[in-house]
Amino acid sequence: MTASKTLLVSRLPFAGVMVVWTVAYATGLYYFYGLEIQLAAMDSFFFNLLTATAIVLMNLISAYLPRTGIFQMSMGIALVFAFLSQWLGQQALAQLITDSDYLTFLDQSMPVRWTLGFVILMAVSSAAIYYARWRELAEEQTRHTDTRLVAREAELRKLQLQLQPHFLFNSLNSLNALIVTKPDQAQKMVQQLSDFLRLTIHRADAPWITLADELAYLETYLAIEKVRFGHRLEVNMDAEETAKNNVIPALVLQPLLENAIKFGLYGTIGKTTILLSATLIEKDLQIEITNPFDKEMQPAAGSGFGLTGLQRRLYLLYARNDLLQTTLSDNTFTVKLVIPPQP
Amino acid sequence: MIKAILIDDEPLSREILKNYLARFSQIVVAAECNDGFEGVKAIQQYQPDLVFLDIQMPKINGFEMLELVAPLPAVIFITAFDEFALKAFEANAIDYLLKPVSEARFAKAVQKFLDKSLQPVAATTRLLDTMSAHAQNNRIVVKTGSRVKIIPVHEIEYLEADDDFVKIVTAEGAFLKNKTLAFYEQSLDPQQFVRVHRSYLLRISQIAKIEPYQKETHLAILRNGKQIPISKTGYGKLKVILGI
Repeated sequence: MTASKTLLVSRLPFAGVMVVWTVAYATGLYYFYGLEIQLAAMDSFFFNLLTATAIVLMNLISAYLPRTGIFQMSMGIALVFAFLSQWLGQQALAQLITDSDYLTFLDQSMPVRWTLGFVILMAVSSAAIYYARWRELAEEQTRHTDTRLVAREAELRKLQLQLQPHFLFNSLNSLNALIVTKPDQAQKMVQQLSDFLRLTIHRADAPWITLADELAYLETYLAIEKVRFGHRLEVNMDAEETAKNNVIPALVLQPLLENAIKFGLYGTIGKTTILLSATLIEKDLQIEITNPFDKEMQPAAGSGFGLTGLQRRLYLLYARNDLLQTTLSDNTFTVKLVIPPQP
Repeated sequence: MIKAILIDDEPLSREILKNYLARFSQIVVAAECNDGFEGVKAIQQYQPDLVFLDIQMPKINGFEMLELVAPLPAVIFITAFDEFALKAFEANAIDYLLKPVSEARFAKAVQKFLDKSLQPVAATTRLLDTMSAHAQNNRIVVKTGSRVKIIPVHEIEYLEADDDFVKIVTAEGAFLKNKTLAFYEQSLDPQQFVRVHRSYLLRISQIAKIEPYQKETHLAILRNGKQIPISKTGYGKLKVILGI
């Protein structure tokens, strides 16, 4: 029943168009057929009033037509309505006017009037049908986009949650130990953990973040990891000053760094040094993260965050599959990430 | 005196356990280990009565480490967040501690051990079977002499039954593992490994060609020239997977 809501013929413009058309019609009759002004005006008024009525009626009926075959049906209805309206016009004028010249003209002009009426009705109703269809499609499109957006948000949130529990419980465990053994350091760690959590919550609403902010966030994260693994973990972050104002999607750098730390710490034994560099190459931000890697190691199943998820997110954001590249050398693993300007 | 060993890669985590253990004068900490490799050595060296074992550790995890240890000591597992492991613990009625570890909970677990009611070794063995059958099927950890070796599954050529052991053959050589062939037949990807014979589990991609042998049996010629017998049923399975 969408057609009833989307009547093409909204009242005011329709009335305006009809008035103009009626004047033009009368003028045509006056100039081309030599009718007296009064007769031309009356003729035009009656015929077009009835045509307008037919259009309104057709629009009302079209709301109750089934979706399939609506086109053929409105063509049939247009034919009937065109005939009826013009015939009524003829009858009315024949009653009102006695001028015999005019009456002959009226009889002769009927085929033209029927044809014209049919064409007008048909044009208006087809336009109405297409307009309704178009509106429906547009609505569907909007819905579709919205659904995708929502799904994307949900996915993001899930990823975010995925990052937390292990880290959180292990941090609390370290904190527990510090409270007993080194209370002053425990207090510091509570602060660091709070800073980290506050930033994490704050970040939840921002899909984009400047590199500077992201690095500051990573620093709070690293401060905690240092408490747990300070004896073997070292992270060197080196970002160009000009690159720091570039915006990057949230939750891209963090999982990569977490991955590097995880593979460094859990894939090798001994000191783990992670390198992070950020440079600006033309407009693209290029970030490289390197971690030590032991070739002998096959990561235990299900232990990795996985680069596939990230690859998918980058694809959703930039529609490009070439932004994330990994290289494996003798004993290091490097992830190279290219971040184009925000689309 | 009861000898205990702490195996956890985070110093602070060991610190708090030591602190809690100080209350139990009958328990002495014989060694502290940063990872599973040190753990295997320490267990061999000290033959501890009780082991506190973290699960997530560098290179090999707690379960994999235990697979390399015989005889199994009594174990109290410690983990931060591992739903899969927790389910396995519950299913096998094995005691475990969740990080952050509370002193009360810790004391309860130790008391259970002192009362001799802590997980019988059989339950731990069962647990290890469940864990390695599900979580670790992309690598197998073995011990050769005092060395620990991690074998990625894709490097395996075939597995051969050898009395109570399974011989895992790679390009580097053969490694023995205290498991059954049936266990690996179940835990390894059936699209990659086929039990072609009562005594052989063969990696399909290693096959160069198959030749008829004696009546109804065949021989698989591997890429490196080795020959593996294929039984009648084994040939049937191969035909299904290779689509011939």
